[in-house]
Amino acid sequence: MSSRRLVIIGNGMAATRLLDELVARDARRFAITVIGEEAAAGYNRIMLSPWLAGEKSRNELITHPRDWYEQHGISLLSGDPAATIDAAQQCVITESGARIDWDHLIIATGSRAAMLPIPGNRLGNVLCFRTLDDAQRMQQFARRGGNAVVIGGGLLGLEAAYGLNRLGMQVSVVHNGDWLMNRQLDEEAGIKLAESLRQRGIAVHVGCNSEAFVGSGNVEGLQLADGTVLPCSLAIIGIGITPEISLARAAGLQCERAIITDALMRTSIENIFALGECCQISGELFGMIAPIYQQARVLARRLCSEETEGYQSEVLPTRLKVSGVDVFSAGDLMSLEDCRTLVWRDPKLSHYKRLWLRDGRLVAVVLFGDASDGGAYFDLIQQGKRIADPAALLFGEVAA
Amino acid sequence: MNAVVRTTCPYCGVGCGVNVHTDIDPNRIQVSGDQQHPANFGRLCVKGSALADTIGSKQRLLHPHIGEQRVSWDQALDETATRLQNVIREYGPDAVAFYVSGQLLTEDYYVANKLMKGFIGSANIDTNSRLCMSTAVAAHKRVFGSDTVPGCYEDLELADLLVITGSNMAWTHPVVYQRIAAAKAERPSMKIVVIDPRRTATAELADLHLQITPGSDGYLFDGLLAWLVMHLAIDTDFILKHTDDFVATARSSRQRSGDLLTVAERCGLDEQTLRTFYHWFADTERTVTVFSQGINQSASGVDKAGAILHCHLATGRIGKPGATPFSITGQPNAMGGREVGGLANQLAAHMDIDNAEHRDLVRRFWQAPAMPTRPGLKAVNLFDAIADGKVKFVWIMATNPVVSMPDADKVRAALAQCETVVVSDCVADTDTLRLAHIRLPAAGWGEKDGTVTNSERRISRQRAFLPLPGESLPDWKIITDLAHRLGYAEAFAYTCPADIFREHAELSAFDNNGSRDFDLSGLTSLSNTDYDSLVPVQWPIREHSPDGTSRFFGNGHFFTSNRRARFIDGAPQPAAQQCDANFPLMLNSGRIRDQWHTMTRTARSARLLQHISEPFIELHDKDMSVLGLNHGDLVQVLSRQGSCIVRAQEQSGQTPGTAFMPIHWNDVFASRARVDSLIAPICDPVSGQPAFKQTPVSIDKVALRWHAILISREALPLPDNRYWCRRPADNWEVVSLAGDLTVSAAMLKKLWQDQVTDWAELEDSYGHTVRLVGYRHAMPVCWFALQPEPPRIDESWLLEALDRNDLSALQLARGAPSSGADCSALVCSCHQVREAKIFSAIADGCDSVERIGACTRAGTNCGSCIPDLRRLLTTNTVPEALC
Repeated sequence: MSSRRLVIIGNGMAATRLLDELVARDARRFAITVIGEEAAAGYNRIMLSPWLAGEKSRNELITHPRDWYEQHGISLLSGDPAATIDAAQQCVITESGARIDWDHLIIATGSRAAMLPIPGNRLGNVLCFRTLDDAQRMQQFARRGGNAVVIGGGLLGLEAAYGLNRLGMQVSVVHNGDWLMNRQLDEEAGIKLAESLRQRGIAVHVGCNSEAFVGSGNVEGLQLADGTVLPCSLAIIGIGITPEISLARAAGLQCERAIITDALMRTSIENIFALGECCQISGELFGMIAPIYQQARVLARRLCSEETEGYQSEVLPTRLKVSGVDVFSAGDLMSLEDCRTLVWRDPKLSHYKRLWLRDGRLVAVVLFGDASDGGAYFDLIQQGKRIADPAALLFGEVAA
Repeated sequence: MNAVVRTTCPYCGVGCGVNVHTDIDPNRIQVSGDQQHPANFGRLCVKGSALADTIGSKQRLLHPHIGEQRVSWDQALDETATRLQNVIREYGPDAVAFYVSGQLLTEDYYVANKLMKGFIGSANIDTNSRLCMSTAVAAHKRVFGSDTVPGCYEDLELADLLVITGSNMAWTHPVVYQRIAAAKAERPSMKIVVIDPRRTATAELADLHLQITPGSDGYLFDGLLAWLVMHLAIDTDFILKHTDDFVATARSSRQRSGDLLTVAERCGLDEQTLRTFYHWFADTERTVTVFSQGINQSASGVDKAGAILHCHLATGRIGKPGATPFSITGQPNAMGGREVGGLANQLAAHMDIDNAEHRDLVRRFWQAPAMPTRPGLKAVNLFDAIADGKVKFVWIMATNPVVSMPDADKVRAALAQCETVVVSDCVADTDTLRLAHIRLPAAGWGEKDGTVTNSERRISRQRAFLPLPGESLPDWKIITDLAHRLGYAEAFAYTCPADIFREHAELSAFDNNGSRDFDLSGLTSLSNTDYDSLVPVQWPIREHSPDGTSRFFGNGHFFTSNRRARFIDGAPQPAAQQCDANFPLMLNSGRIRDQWHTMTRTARSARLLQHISEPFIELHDKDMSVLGLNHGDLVQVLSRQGSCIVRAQEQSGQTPGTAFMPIHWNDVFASRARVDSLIAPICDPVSGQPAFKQTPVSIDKVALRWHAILISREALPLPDNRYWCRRPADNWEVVSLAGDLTVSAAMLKKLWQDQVTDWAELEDSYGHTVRLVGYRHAMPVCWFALQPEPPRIDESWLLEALDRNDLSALQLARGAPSSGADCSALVCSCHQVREAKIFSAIADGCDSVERIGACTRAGTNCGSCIPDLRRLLTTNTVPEALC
């Protein structure tokens, strides 16, 4: 009997992790085809920010070079994106018209950068920050200097802003929340983060709605709700991501915000699986790497007929990867009413820590300036243990 | 100046010789024990070893002040003289008083006494020795006819039976205790009996510990006399030849004592234990009984001390090698004070004020213009007279009665409304100085010259090796300058301490001819150089005994008019106050190992405050649990007189129903911990010495919401609290605090804004915890922790880290290193060895004090902690030592 045909649409981090898991379990029992939209081989998207900032080399980004695929007998079809999925025929048709049959289809199409629905968003030099291509274009542009505006004061936007700043541009961050990273940080940490970015020469505008990009041909400025125009020759939209589910939807897979998937990564159609940013499990979407890796493991076990309990939802910490600004957040900062808070402020070192405790248990933490204990705090949140001495915990006696 | 100056320790009555090395480190003197000094032969206790920490001009009174105004010496002394003369003119000489101290040198003391008794014309000079030695003085005088300590330290080593009663000498007289310990180690057949309601460190050495009912010691010794008589264990020959009134005393003693069981029950002992003690006493020719404050500080102390003397007279064991009663004194110069007549009922040179012959003799010698004919006011009566407005001018020298007197709150109130309070002292702040109208800066140890006399009548020189700080002057000079202003320049024409000493010696010899015990005739013609090089010598020093005399009375010659000792019948009394339902616990008071008196000097040494750093009350485990207390809880101690707030400590050495508090803490170092504010002014009717040892009290846990520690470069104002206790720690001051009103970081930052420019802080939305690290010009100057339970910190680590300033505020705020913190109790102050280290040495097989010493160095310097080491060796449970 010939080996089962596995087709994976997408060559992002979910797909390459799945490949790793399969390789670890002997990938040659499958005939695997990977259809990638991007020209490049597998790279680590998380490292785009340090690469943009010039802190990492391109080689360090690449996790799966082309010969890796060859080595493991995997066919990689890049630069010829999938155009349709035919569930009935169990095949994928690419843009060039090629037909690829499958016994199992895995959709790992990820997401796209969310577009800002304001006038002028099609002007030249209005970019998103999502792919290696995006990063490359930003890098090339930044060499010319000038003003850049980054819309979005969350993780993605700030990393883009920092990268452009490091490349020599005058950067302004425009954020509609009341403080930076307002979903992950409390106000005081958000203010401290803004201060530290300002010290690095990045202008920060919070509580600001963007009205329109202005300019003819290329962007020349961003107009804010109060009428202010921030002049710029480059505008980066870093307001978030939208799951890429157009293929799935067209193929009749059940979708809400993303492709509805069960804990074993099965979609509504037999033999079609989805994982990563394009899937939705029990209403939950995914943007962080750890749950996606877990999904890859679950799916690999499932494909290899190993026992698996299926995907378990996990809460995740956030770290801002901006060198010199160590920021860590864990726990759901949106629901912290009736919590006891303990704060440590060290203005000399510009360190800040805030812990939230409910019923004597740690439920959330924000660290600014020194995030080295972040992992240990995160573990404590996960364990839900009663904390005997909250003050000692604040002082880093986390292991106790 | 010589590289090594030989001087004498300024603390307890042992009077150890100290070598001061000024040449090893020019910035810091070093001290060592004087190998040649016959009191200590090179040993020093922990307080003596730390003497170098206590000198210097920091926190010293450096200039004369009238009110808050700094003035010149001329202004200060003119004002003092004017006020003194005005009071005398208007109200007579008995409206003025001096209250002096066993801390003064003999020369200071002599001049003060002479001025008051011979020139001002009142006997209103009393001394803090009233609080510690006056009972022994009175007992000696009644029984021997003179205030004579018959024996010497060597007797304590030569004895085959050493009875130690009313003394925790392991802590209060450590060097004598170590001499005894060494003697016993060499000669294990030597028996030691310790009589004390508490099982103290001293009892560690005892073959027999009589843990008697507090205050029952009179019954014990009265019963002993009766038992000795019944068992024919008396020296009838000695009794017949050298004593009077034996028969009557022995008869009434036998009648009231009853049988052994009755005595045992009165003393709270079992019959067998009592019998053993009595047998040992009866059977051991070489018996020494050492007594101290447990006997003296009693409402019937003179009778108790008398009962001890009786037992020695009845057995003829007096003034013989290894056989004598021995009163050991508390202060470095209590004996010198007695010699010059510094008590209100003495005159001078062991002569009596109510003896007309003596008055005449002294008047002729001094050419005194005004001499009182009756005794002056004794300490308690003296402060009562101040309270009543009868005494309107008081000059307090080198002592702190607001802390040390019984009913101390009343003493404070008395001084607060006195017309003129003059205080001369060497430190800048004491509870008493705070009430002074005129403050006079006195020279301290190491800055002045003179002599002191220790418990075995040995006169030793204190020698100066430091310049006088600021404008301070030796006390003799201050008094002399005042005497000149009063018009007595001729009688006070002293230019140096040697002038005074010579006069003092001459007075002792004046018309003496062996009629009086105190006789320095061999020293009357000392030159200044001789005086400077005077070697320690025991009085009497007569022509035929120029090198001094070790013992008295071996020949049976006493100093009564008929030269025979007297038995003075006195029925034993129970403690003057008894417990009842409202005050169910009997409180004892005394010293701790590492502090001296009211801490004015010992608290300058950080290491001396590490062994015990806060005021406490010790209770038996059973009472702790009945009261619902945990070790370290803050409690209010209430007596009929007043109240204190201190930490409760479990101490199995207490008997259930009893408690113990240290005498040292006061308003400078703690919020409310003056034990003497609890103590009733009940005195022995003969000696006037107050009964400090038995006070009925009640104890209640203090309700508190927070406990805190403040460490700061300089003293900071404190937030509202129920309790505080501060102590210096080298460059820092450490304050322990507790309270029940909310204290927020914001309040504290405002309170300390003048001292601190930048804060690292912990903010707790519940307000349970505050932690602050304050900086000034990037240097940490303040550290504060507040929380519901007492913060536990590794203090030595933290203080060093604050000094180095190489850690983050967060690391500092933890109060302990992230690993290896040792928060266990400090045992060896000298080598800074903590309990945890000693336990680990024991676990590693160190099974003796010597091995622990070899392994950890604990106990190898002063040896004061050796009793603690013994205790740890026998402790089976190793407490949680690391935090």
